Amino acid sequence: MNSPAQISLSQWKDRYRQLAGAGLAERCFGGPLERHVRAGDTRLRHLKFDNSPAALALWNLLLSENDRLRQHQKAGRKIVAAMKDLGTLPVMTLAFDNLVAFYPDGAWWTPCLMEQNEGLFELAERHGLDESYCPVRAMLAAFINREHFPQPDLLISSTGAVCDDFAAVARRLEYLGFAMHWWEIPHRRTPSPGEPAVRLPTGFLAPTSQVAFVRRQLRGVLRQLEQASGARLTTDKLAAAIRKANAFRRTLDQIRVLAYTADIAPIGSLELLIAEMLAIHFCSNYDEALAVLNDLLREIRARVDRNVGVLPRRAARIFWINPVADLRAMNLLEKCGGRVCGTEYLFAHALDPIPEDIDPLEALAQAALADPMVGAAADRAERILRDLRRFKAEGVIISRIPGASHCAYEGKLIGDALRQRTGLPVAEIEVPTLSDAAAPSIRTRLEALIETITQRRQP
Amino acid sequence: MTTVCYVSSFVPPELIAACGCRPRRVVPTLPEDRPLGAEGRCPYAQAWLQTALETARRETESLFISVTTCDQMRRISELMPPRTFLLNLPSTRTDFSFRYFCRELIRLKTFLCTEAQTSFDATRLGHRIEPSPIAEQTEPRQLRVALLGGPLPPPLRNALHALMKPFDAAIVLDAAEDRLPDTDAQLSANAFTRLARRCFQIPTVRQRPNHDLYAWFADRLQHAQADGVLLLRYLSCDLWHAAAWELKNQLTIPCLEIDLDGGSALPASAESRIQAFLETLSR
Repeated sequence: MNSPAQISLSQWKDRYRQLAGAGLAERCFGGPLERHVRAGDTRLRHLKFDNSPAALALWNLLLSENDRLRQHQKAGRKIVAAMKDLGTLPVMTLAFDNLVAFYPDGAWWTPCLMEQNEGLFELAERHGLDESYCPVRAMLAAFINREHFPQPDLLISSTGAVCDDFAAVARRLEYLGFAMHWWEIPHRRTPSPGEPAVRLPTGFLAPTSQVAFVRRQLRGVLRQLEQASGARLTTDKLAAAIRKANAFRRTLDQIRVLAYTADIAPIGSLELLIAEMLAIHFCSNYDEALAVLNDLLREIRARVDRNVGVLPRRAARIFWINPVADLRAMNLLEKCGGRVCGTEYLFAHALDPIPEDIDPLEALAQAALADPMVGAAADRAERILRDLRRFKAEGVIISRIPGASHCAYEGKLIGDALRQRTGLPVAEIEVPTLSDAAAPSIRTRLEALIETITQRRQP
Repeated sequence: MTTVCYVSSFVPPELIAACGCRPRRVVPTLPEDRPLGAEGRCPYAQAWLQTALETARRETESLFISVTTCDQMRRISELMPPRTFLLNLPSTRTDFSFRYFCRELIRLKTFLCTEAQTSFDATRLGHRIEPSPIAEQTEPRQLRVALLGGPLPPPLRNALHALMKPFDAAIVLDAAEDRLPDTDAQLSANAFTRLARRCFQIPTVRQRPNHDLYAWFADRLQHAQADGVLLLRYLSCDLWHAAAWELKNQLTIPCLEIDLDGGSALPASAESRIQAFLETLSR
């Protein structure tokens, strides 16, 4: 049982007993995984998990977030809902001792985890957001019924170059009486010839005038945070928060490089997906999240050093684009003979280091404008191309999110660009919130891609 | 003279003319036989894209202006002909975002003059090209209907009028997206600012917060004494679909939301629903 493996929830029962018996030291949010099933996350029964204590801590950290948020509120901290923005606002919030950033958009996974028994989609539909909208509509319902995360004290949402689904959901919240602070992120454009420009953290070029615009917007956000906190924020504190965020991002980068370049996949793609998600807002506790990430890094490093892992050595190396609405899809890829070697889950700008050698607010403005989703799909493809080569992927999957407005065009734009530039096979699939019924067709497409990859390997 | 094609009300034709170009507001062609809108794509955005590409093939010197009025329009800009300018329209309506919009119009001016190799004539900014396009029916009708929603090319408008005729109904307020009015900005220092303000203040379903759109519409509805509202929107239009729900909750008169599949004719199901709606209104 100590060899790396992917195991089921029921196997984790025995594994947990074994680890506990051997003196497993856990954090306050630790415990057996099946307690989350009792709390309603029944999808866990259908997933495969890594069998390491590090993975256990990762899952427990993720699945205990709502409890943690309640504890924060009890302790007098205010919860800031950072909406749509993936990675900028939480860094600013980190600079305040009595504020905690939370990413309510993450509720889009609740219908998956609870296998739609929680009724969020139905509630969203009663408030005018039907299945033509992407699963983020679950967030609206979660705000309404208050059965998942506690009510945030401050709602801050980006607008402008955002997907229409989210624009509609956020607006509905405002309509229903939730006070919202909007900040604008413009469509990132290519600088005109001779126009002053700056290279952003993700590598994109942007006009300095657009960075200045975003910086001004972030100043407005900062005022909101200061009001909520009751404290003025100094430049030094903001700079310190950026350094903390970068420390987190460096750790995550080490995990990604190790996991995606190893001969044998040291850990499954599901755990890697969750690890990446932590970078967005540190799962409402920076210190705990960093500790969990460091444990995961140690486990992965140890496995890579021993050249052991959880998947076959010859698993097809797949670059995965866009997060999946159903976590089970990641297991399915591995079942079909693939492994994830590279990802772009819509928030590459939350993974890249934020500049530390310039004014902190300027740095955050650059980081915000570096969001792949606020610019052209061609930019996003460039970023993907870089990582694709870095991680030596052999094929690409573009995972469409049902109802998401950005998926209507970017799949073709990105897919065509990657095919043209790399000659790699690219498959596009759509993963619904519960993919069981669609699993045969998804599986067929995954297997076809993997077969193509395998054939291309032959001399 | 270089022709500059655009579809959006947020593009000031006077600016195009002042740049020595010919403004052409395009009505995208929706296909007769095969509706657009596959895989979540907005049929109107697709139609604009196809129209632009066809125009660019025929008229190689033409320029194009797209506007970030929604996510789909923003994304198709990558597929538009090479000589396309994407005008970044802010969602927020603050003084700061207005100044940003002004800078965007200046950038547009530079683009047009550079591409068309012309010079800018500021005196032409004050010559209004398109009058306020709201159509208001003045003759008495049994039924007074307001129109709201996505842009409606003439074939669809004609189809609507044909449906309304038997009920002695008329559109007393046409506030579809391509007809939303600009408002004369009176308190502006110069013609350019006045022009920018005029466009900037157009109520839009995209703006955040968007109380202005509803306030404007409620005010016009009252003025027009409409009996009911028809909200026509394209499949995959998340913004109008969401707005429809709020409108239905706020309005005191009936509101019918109709999906358009991107064809040049009204879908048969839509016709039946509109007829039933008009029948209900007439009772």
